[in-house]
Amino acid sequence: MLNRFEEWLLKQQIGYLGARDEQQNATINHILVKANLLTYCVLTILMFVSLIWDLSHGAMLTLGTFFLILTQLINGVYTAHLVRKAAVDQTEFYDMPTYQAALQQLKVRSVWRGINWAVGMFIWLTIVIPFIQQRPTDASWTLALIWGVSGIIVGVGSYFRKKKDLHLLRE
Amino acid sequence: MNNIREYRQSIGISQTELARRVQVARQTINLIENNKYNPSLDLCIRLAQVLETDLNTLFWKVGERNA
Repeated sequence: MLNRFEEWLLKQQIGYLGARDEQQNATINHILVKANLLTYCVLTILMFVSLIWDLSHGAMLTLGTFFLILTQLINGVYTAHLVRKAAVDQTEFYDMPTYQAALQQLKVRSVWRGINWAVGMFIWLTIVIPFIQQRPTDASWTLALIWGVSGIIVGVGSYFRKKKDLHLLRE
Repeated sequence: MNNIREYRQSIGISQTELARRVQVARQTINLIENNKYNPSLDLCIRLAQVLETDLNTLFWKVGERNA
C-alpha cells in the first residue's frame, strides 16, 4: 500500500510515464537525495529565521515555527530509523590498530560534540534569546555549570551510542 | 571500460535495438558504452546474452585488474 503510494507520488513529482530502468531509477534516487539535503538545509535556516522573528515580536513560538521544527524532526527521525534498520551506519574492522584509530577519532568527535552542544546552548539560550527579546542576559556561573554538565552527558552519550556501530571482526 | 559498443556494432544493431532487447532506455546503453554508468550484474548478464558473448569478453580488459 505504502509502496504503491510512494510510486504514485514519485511519478507525480518527477513526472514520468511507464517503468524506469535501473540507471534511471538510480539517477532519480540521486536527484531526490540531493533535493532532500537541500530541503534540510533550507528548512534549518528558515526554522532559525522564524524562531528569531517570533522571539523579536514577543511571541514564544508560532504555529509556523512549530511546524518547521516538527518537519525537521520527522525527517530526522524517519531517516535515522531507516538508516539503522538497513544497518548502513555500521562499520566493520578487521584489525585492532584500525579499530583503535577509529575509536580515537570517535573520542575526539564526541568531545567536540559535547563542547558544541554546551557552548551553543549556553550562548543561544542565555545570551542570544535575551538579546533578541531585548531583556538582560541570563548568563550566570550556575547556568554555565548546568550546560557544561549537559555537554559532558551529550559527549559521553554520543561516544557510547556511536561506539555500538563500530565492530571489530575476529576470525 | 567495456567492449559493448564494439560487440554491438559487430552484430550490426543500434543502441535503440540493444536497449529494446535488454529492456532499458537507449540513454542507459549510451551511458554504459561511454563508461558513465556501471550496470548491475543482472543487466550485464542480459547484455552478454543479447550480444551472444560472455561477461569476461564484454567487461574484462587485460591490465585493468588492479586499476
